[in-house]
Amino acid sequence: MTPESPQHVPDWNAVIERTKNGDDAAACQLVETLHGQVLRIVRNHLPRCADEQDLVQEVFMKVFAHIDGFRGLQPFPNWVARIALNTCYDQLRKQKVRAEVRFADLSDEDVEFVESIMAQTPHDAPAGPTGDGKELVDQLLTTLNPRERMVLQLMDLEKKSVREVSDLTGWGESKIKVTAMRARNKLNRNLIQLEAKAKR
Amino acid sequence: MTHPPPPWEAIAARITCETGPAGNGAPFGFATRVVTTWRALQREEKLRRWSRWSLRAALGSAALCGLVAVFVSRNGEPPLLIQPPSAAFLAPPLTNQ
Repeated sequence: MTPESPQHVPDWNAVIERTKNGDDAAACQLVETLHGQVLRIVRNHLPRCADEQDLVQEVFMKVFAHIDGFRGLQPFPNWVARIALNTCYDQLRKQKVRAEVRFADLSDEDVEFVESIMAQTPHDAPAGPTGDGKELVDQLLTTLNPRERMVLQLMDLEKKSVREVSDLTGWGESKIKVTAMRARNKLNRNLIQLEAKAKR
Repeated sequence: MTHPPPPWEAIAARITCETGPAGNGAPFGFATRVVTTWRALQREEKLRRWSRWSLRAALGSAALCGLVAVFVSRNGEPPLLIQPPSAAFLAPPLTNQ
């Protein structure tokens, strides 16, 4: 994860210390610097969230509430990312899990996308245009439980390693691997059913 | 013979999620709003803690007074606080009319 743009990386120890001592300017600097990172996490995990800025604000409230407990064992932006992920996870737990993606829910582009994926031969180049099928992916992810959804988002879409996911979420590596495998199987079953319906 | 990847893996290979910071910094006034809200919450929390502490202190004092009253009542006369008013006090004042 690239927490902030490299041109202005603040001295986090100083910013944290000043924030703890009630310096509003330092607190504002903290928010300004990490806003983009937190917003990206919220957008990736809750793509249909209408009030994303409220959620970002909630993340920063948690950061301020727990900043006294920051021990410096990991970089501060990573610590904030972990809080953001946990906030998204809590939000996902409030959302209803869909039983399956129905064929009728898909747009024509999504149907074409599924068909092209199914028709792919082993020699086809896997990389396609970025963003293609994102709507379909969002719909598919809503059929997973929050933990499965978060693990697949981080591993398969953000291309993070099991170790990185473990560091970010605090979940054990074996648990992450099992969760990812179950979630992939679930999505593959769903996709095969979709393709069968598309052929009819 | 190689098999094609399962459909989800094929889709995931095509999708690339951005992981860098989103947008061009916080919206105007966002940071100030967050910090102001946080400070207000902090003040409310202090007040809440103080209210909780004073409620506990009041309950503790009342319990202590009760214990003292019970302890005193064991030694003979009922304590002043739970002593029934005398009949003389309840009787209406006598008048000549």
